[in-house]
Amino acid sequence: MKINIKKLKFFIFGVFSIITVNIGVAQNSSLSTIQIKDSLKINNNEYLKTPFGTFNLKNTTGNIFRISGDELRKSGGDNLINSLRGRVPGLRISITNSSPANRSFSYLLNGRTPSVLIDGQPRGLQIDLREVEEVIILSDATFNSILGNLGDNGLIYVITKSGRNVKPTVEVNYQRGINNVTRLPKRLTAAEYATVINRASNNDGLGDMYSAEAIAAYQNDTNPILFPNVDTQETYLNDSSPSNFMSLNIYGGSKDVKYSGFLGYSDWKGLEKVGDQIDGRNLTFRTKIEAKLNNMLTAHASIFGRFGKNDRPIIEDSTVFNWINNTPANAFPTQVGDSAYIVNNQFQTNLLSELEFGGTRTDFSSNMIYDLGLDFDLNEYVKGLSYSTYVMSRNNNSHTLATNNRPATYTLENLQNINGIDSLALKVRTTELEDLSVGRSNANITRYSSYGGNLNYIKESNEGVLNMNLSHLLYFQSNRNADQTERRNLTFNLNTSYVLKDKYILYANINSSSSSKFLADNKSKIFPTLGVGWVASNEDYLKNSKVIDYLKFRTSYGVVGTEYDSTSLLYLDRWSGGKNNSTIYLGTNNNTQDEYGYRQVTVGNQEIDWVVYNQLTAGLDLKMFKKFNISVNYFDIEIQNQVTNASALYASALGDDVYLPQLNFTTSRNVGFNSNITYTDNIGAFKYHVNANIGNNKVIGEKIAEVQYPDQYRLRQGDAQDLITGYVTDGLFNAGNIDSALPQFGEVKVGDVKYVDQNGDNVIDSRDQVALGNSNPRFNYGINIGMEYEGFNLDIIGMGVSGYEINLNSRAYYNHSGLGTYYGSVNNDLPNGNANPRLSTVKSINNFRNSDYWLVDGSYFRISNVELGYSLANSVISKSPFSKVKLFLRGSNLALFSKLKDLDPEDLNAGVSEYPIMRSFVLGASINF
Amino acid sequence: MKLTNKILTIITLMLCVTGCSSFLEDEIQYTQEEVVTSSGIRSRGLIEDIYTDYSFRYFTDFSAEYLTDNGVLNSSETNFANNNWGVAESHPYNYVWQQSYDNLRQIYQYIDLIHDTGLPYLPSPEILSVDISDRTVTRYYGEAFFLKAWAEWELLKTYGGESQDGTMLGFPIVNEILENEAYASLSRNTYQECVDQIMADLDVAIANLPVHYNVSTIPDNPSTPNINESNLGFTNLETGRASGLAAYALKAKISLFAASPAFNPTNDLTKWELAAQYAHDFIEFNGGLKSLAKFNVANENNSNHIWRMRNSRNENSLENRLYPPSLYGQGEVNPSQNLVDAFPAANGYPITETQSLYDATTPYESRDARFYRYIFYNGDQGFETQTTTDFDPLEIYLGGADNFGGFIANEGTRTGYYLKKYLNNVEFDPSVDNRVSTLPRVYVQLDLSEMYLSYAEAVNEAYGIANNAPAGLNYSAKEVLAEVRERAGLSADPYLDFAAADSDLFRTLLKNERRIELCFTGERFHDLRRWKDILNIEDVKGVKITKDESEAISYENIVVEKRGYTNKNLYLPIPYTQVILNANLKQNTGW
Repeated sequence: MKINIKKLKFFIFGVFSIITVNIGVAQNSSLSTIQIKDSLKINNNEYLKTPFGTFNLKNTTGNIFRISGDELRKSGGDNLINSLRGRVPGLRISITNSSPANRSFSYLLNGRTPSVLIDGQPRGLQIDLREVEEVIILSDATFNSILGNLGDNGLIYVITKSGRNVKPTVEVNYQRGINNVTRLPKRLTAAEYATVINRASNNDGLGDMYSAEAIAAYQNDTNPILFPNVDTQETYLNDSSPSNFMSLNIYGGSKDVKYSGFLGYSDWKGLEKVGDQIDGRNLTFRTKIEAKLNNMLTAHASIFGRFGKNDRPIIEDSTVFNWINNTPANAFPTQVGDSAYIVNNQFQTNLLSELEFGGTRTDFSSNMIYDLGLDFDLNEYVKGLSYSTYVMSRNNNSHTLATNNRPATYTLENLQNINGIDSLALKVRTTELEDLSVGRSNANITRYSSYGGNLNYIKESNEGVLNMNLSHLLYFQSNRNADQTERRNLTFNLNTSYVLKDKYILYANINSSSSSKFLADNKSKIFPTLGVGWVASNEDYLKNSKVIDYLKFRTSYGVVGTEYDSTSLLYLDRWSGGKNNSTIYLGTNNNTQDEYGYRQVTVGNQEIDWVVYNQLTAGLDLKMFKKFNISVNYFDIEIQNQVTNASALYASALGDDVYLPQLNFTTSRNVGFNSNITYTDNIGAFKYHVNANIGNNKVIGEKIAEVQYPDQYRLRQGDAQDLITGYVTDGLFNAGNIDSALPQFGEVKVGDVKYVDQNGDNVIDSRDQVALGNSNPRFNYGINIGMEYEGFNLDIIGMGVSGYEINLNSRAYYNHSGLGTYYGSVNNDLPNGNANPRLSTVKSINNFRNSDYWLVDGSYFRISNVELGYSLANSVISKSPFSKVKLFLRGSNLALFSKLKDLDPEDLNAGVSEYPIMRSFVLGASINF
Repeated sequence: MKLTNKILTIITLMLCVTGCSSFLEDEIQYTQEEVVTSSGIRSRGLIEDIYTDYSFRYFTDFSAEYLTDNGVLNSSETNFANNNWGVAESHPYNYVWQQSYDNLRQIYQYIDLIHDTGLPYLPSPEILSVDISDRTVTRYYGEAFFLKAWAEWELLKTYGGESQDGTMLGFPIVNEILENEAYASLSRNTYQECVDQIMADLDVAIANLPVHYNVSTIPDNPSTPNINESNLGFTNLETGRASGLAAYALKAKISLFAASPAFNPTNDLTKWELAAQYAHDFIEFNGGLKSLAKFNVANENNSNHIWRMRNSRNENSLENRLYPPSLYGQGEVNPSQNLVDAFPAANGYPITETQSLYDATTPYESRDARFYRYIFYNGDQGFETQTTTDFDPLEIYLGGADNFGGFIANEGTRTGYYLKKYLNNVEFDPSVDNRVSTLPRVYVQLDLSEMYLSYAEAVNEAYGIANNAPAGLNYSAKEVLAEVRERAGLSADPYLDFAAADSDLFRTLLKNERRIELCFTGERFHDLRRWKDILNIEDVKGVKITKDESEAISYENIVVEKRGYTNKNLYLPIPYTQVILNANLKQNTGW
């Protein structure tokens, strides 16, 4: 803890000293100026200068979606991915963890995870929403092919705020948030639980486990020790938790020196009501400086740091929520007297004792990224020629301090004294063990570095614009495990675009990708890309159209080569083992194993080759009536040579998977479209816009390794890869049809699931499984509405998905059996309207199989982010030192519409075995001066 | 200035080109083949590695036992046991196919890469160590062939059966490492060819292995031939490895299966005679008909254990999962009422006989000693005998601590019993100070009592006579079975005398003895198949015990799970996916 505070102080000091130095340099500088910005506008062309090439965004064959940081900052907090929810066509963002310290999202662009580039560098998601200038989504081969391995699934290109040639400007932002629980799973009261247990045990002829008197006692709360009724959610969880966000942006510069600094602070707390709650904070900073050294050379450098510290109870928050929901209300009184924590023999964990006495843990994390770059203006040798290069190094460290105690727990025993009178006794279940030492563990150290550069040549003439790039990128990512491979990639590109008369665009790229994961000739491969575009609205016959303001058709086809995912080198034969390695114990003495055990674990394939994405994209951009802005994209991506061991094609007498080399075998195809429509208008001073975006995709397995079943309907080649297969059901057995039941699984009784015989052999077995649905949403969409009037603004962003099924089988919350945990859902029908199958004390081997009985439409729509803001009018602030003042109220996850009512379809573990998804309200202000 | 800039530019450009070639080489650290094959000691790890596949198979055995009338799992119904095997895409023994061929391949890796290269065990050239080294190399060669035979035996036991055209088939014999594609066109050898192959492999094993490892580490033990100055490599430090005796035992076991009705449809009596002969050979090789030692899996030095493996002594998962709830266990394995009824009364009579003095109102009084050692029953309070008191009496009645809703509410028994057979007397009660919660335990693959049972069965079937030793054999079926019964406390055994007079009666008695002795070894499922008795299997019964207000106990038998098998279940199916893949692979009949 001490160390951390020191560190933070040091870096706060560091940030300010760097800013001071920057300002100092700016004042003393007297060198001449050149215009370098991340995007600069010349005539009709708008160039995006990236470390891997300079591209003409206005006249490109690529599919580009841009959104400004100011627009994204209408979402509260500091998380960039959260702010993108519902904003980008084809980008489906789902919450995967809502724990305040580890909020995380999955983000899929056209169905696959894109890479994030920060200022063009592969740094991972090391970015704070509050320092974002602009986000550009690049989703076709025009750009993807340039990044090779990193670009296979599209790019999220983030531009951070930079210095510019203005007087020093300061932006201050403060947000105060309150996070409320949205959905928690329903729990049973003690009496309800006892009733359900009785139902299950009576179904199996075991009689009542709880007497009517006991159930009444649970209900009346007459004896909370012997007949407890503990509402664990109420006991352990607060309804809400606070969070705070503060940030400072400073930027400015002169002709020759530009600087910017960002400092962001965020803190959060957890929902835990007892013991040490989650309590963490992090500090993020970025400083950038750019100085023109002479007419030819400009140097730039940046430092980014993010330091986090999170205190929490020793048990994971997932454990906290599991215990809260799994422990029945009547299991035990949490405490007898002031000190004795109670458990029972079935439920042996007491959350109260763990939270109060179990110990604490502090996680520290530190991310430091440095980069240093040089831009060479070679105009004086060849007009239009420039070269820029950079090196980037990222170090990611984390470590943990923990104390782990074992609390004393007791079971309750009912004893009878000699007079036959009941008395209560405590029996030791675990003895107390206090961990007096503080353990330290180094959890993770990762290093990433990249070294890239680009030689650019631009020639603008009256006829057209020629733009050529020759870029190189070296990418390295370390791996802590000595027997796992690091990422070592080397990428070169040569690309040319030519724009003729602002109408016809031609683009071509040759990519050479190299990776350490391949052998010999396969180490380096060449991948080409071609693109064409036509700005039809610049043709004479459309130039004066009153309807069409802008119309562009574009298409690109590119081949992108990527590595396989495995961290083993697939071309190697590998053996494993060692002394005492799963060998036998010999002899009759109490000795150790003391023998060597060795076995082969993989057979290498020296021919292993690149996975190849053949990406075809076609799209159009259209502006009409000066109000409509439409873009539509169709994509067809064939993914060839995917790696599999194709075990279905080999005899298992060959041995286990060890002897199956990994092959480039599988081909799949990802086909879909995305579209974005915006309508912008105003009624006097009232300005508004409405936007709708939609994405669709489906991945089909065109060539897969599968067992060639004689039943054609069991073959999956040509089907969607997210297919859910299982049995078709015909309701539950009842007294009328139980006698005519076909052989299913085990002995079926009234109330068990009835399956349909597909092949007419009068037996239900694995051959009766068919395709039932799909598990990935076919559609994702967003709806954004924004309005502005007299300084007030209201922005509403909604997002949703549809076209898929959720499989409730194997979801503990919906599968009920045994004499252990039951959830509140046992007393309701399933969300799809089906009744719960027969309750039994022994887990049925018939009912809990994948079948349409358990499938439910997973579609949902949620209001993801809302902002109500008020910006002070210029007339008010013009005399103050402020240049801009905005007050705002932001909300996220305000409403959810779905078939599932108890849980959140976006994250079915939320609230059950993880933190629930939170509804946040943020009140804040941002001030520029 | 300009020049410096140019140089700077060139250097920068150069940086990208140089250093790239070596950058793409990733020197990751992993174990390579040479690391294993170049070391005399490490290379033998290929053989040691295989043993683990055959050690501590308790839970696999239990799941096979659930398919029979001997017991059920307490937390789930039994798949496959009620005539719903489907297309055999998965069944409890599906793993055997791949595991066995995997091990066969590893054995040939050992022979090709290590043994045939003449790699010595110890590198030192000293005279003494050459002997030890050679001896050890020979032993590993013998172990390799024993393990090969064992893998083949598992294949034969699991997949042996009659094809649709009526030939009795085994498995595809593979005596080398084939090309990948060749494995997809293997065809099954006949049952007899497979038996012959395994016997031949066992002969190689016998020629290279010591008879047993029971000599001490002190050199010059005159009773062990072929061992010069030191016994190193053959001493009791090696107990657990394949031995010559184990190879003889496996021969007897295989010949018994081959003679059994399911695999010997014409009832060729010479097969039974052969089975009797192999079992006889084993008994003689073991030093004649010896009394059985006490049943004790905690004894690592038990003379009954022909081939056994042991674990770390810190292992108590069996007790954890099998103890009744009031002893802090999960009560996982529930023996059936059918099995309990199979235990004779204390005087050796089946409980159905009037002479047995069995009283249905006190069913757990005066039973065969094995009952008290193998089964936890209501009122039980000891590990060894009826009179020992190691724990509070079990309460397996409705509302009792050891029933559902009792001491651990979600744990209980479906049949009214828990399995005690392999469990040690350890203490889990957390309130007890300094408790012993782990004890040694071995896992027995080949056991002396099983050999005695096999001999008695083979002799009775081959010669139709149990009372007297047939010509050429030294022991009668009756006297060998008597050893088994004697260990169960039946020294005066009038019922055995009575049954031995009639071959059919003796067969019934023997099958029952085999059921009791080998319960929960997984053997019964295969016994029921080879006897073809699986077609007439009973439903699994349990007992519902109630205690009324006057503490009087009543017993009511209930059906716990139905059992039903048809003709096709005499044999197990070849994995469905393999039959689809390989047209040469004939499926067993009915599948």
